[in-house]
Amino acid sequence: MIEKLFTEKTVAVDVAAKDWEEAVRAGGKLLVAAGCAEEAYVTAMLDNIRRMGQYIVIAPGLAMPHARPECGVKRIGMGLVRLSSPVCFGNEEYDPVDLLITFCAVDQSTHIEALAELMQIIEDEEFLAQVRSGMEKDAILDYIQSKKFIKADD
Amino acid sequence: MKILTVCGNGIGSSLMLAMKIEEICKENGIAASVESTDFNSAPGKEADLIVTVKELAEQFDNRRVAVIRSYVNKKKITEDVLDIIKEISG
Repeated sequence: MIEKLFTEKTVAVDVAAKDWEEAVRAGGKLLVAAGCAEEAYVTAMLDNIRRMGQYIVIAPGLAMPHARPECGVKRIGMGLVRLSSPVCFGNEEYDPVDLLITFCAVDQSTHIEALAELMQIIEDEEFLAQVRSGMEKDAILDYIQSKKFIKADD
Repeated sequence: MKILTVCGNGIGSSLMLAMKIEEICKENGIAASVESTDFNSAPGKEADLIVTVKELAEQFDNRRVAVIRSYVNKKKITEDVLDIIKEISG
């Protein structure tokens, strides 16, 4: 499923951002441009981080900004941003961040399969290392298209 | 036993955490139902154990809470929750 969500429009490499807010905006803009979310969704992602804290930095150097379905989601979407230089979110354990995976979901459950696959991307250290060392956008998309995802057994 | 995983929105991090905890329980032969939820709804939901990150743990004063360092790293999650889950499931 995830291979249909990461697209030409939602993946961007070497994005310049001076702080975490700019980085999140850049990620959000991709979802808006791809027709997955409205502008309000980007604002909601930023508000969430300000209000709830920096826990969306979920792994070393990797943030996963998102907001709730009712905050302007049109359809399920996932995006990937590689920053040209890392920014800090204020997360003690996993800062600084150079990769952002943004997503928007239409409800609490239809994206479970996509999230399960996304976890396999996040745990694919070899792939993330390649992305970080300058993997081209087309190669990133090709990799995700051809990756064999393990389905949950229940 | 019933486990509630909590993050800000209830649709991202907590859902991934719920999947990991289900795996951990299954591997250890513990029968558990795991539900993910958002920070605001969590106080109104019953559970034997709430699992969340430090930043969000403070509101659950009177509840049994396991604080995790990661929503996705299975090794860290196992270290942070397994003993407590075993103790509760008795």
